[in-house]
Amino acid sequence: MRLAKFKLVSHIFIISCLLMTFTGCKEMDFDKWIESVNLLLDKTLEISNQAPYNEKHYIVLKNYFNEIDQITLTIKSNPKLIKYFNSKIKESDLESLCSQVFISKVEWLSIVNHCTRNNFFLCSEEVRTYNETLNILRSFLDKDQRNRFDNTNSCRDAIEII
Amino acid sequence: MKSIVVFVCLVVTIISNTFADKNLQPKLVPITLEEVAQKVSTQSYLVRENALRVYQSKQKIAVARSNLLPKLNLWRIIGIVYNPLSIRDVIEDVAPFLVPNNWFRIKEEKALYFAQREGYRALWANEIMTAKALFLHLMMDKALLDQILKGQEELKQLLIVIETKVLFGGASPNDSREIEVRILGLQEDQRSMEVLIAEEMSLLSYLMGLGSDIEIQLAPLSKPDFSNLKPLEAKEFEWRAVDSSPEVRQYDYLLKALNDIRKETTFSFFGASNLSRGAGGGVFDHIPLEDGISLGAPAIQKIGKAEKQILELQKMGAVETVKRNLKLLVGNYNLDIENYKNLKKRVTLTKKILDHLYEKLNFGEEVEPFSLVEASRNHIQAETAFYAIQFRFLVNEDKLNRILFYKDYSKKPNEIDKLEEK
Repeated sequence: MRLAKFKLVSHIFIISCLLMTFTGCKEMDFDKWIESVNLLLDKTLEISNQAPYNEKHYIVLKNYFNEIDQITLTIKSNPKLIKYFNSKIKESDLESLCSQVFISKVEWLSIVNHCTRNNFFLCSEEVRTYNETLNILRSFLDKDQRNRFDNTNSCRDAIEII
Repeated sequence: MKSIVVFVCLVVTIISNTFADKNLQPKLVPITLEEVAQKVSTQSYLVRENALRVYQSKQKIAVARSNLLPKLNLWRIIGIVYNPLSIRDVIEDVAPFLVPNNWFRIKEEKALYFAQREGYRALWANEIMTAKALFLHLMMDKALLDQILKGQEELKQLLIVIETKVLFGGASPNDSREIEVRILGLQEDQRSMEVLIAEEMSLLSYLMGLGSDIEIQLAPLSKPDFSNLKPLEAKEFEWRAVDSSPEVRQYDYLLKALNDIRKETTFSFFGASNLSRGAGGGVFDHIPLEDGISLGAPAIQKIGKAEKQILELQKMGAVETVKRNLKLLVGNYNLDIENYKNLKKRVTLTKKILDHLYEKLNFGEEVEPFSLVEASRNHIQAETAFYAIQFRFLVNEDKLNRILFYKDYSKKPNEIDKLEEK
């Protein structure tokens, strides 16, 4: 009897520890991710008007746009993350989140313009497909969050809905 | 009775001939330039074969992972009773995760899989580029064949005029012979061109993985007008070309795999992994690996170190090759842009000269037969050169897209994903 009680308590303890660890990790990850993307975005904005671009500029651009691309691919490949992503968006102040994470459409178009020569593209492919990527990211949002996203200025300025 | 037999034989012959013809007639499939890339991606024998090799390589990761889980071998367990020293083998069976080299082998397999995938991407892109270039060459050869036929017609008309002049003493018989010689030459060119087109058609059909019972029909292509394009600078494209080159990326993954192979030597004291290293086409098979630490370990480490230097050198070579190819391609692309206006003007001018001479002839003025032949030849040559530059520009543009992994080449070859869905 005593042994059974001990087993039950130990199981509850282990499960709650695991839950705390996982939820804690996720929150830490999301905040850290926003912070790191914001840093990449700042660097991108810093060099976006320094055309013609050189190798250093191309790498800065790739780092930011690749990060947006990778998070979209990660969420797409794991349906559980879509739910988590929605819950984080629900908790967030979208005005501030979008301005911290996404580059505006105007800035992006200017970069695309600097990256284009005749029919060719000089920067990494993620730069060119940014708007398509954002549309995929938006499609992961549920109806309420999508409405919130569409009605937030900084989010709307970042995307051209396809 | 005789007439009935003859009638029945006739009907049978007609019916059998009709069916035989239908069976022998090849299926005609229209193909556009866009479809070429898609067909090569999904149907080419070489592309599909290599997709299967990459798939095998990915499955090797799963084998390496499962190698960490316990295996039970009854005979080995019984063997401990007779030979207690054989317990080491049993540990490798029951707790293979305790052998560090098994963990390194998973990492190696992953890196080798990615290296092989990059190799596949390069092969896939090269096959698409070859097929598209062949399609464009075919279009150019067909346009040239039309030019040859047009030239023959023009010369035949001219021959009639000159022969009439010869009759009235306005030209020498040698003038008409000269034109006949040129017509015969063009007829030879026509036959050669027809054979070349048939050969190219067959090769293109094979590259697209189509059966020999299928005959392709090329969809017409709108000719490019690149008079408004500006010359490019190769330096600006270097970063993208090197960054997206699968040939260069392949070396990055091989270097990653080599790091883990070198770690295997260090940890060989805990036993060797029993998984084959052949996933990457046996690329590191020549590096010895011992089951247990020995006096040969320092030499093996040196072999590994030298292998790393070899790979780094090969990577530098690949980067250099990409840069050089890019420079050459940009040079050719710029040459076509610069020559385009000239050639367009050449066509207009030669046409004007020829028209002027015919006008003079129609008004009964004296025209040297030789100058007519020369004007006709110059015009044909100018038109041929103009066609050639347009198709060459399209080929160079596509080659640049290949080196930059842009447009058709930016899409991921999805054959491997399809195999995984099965």
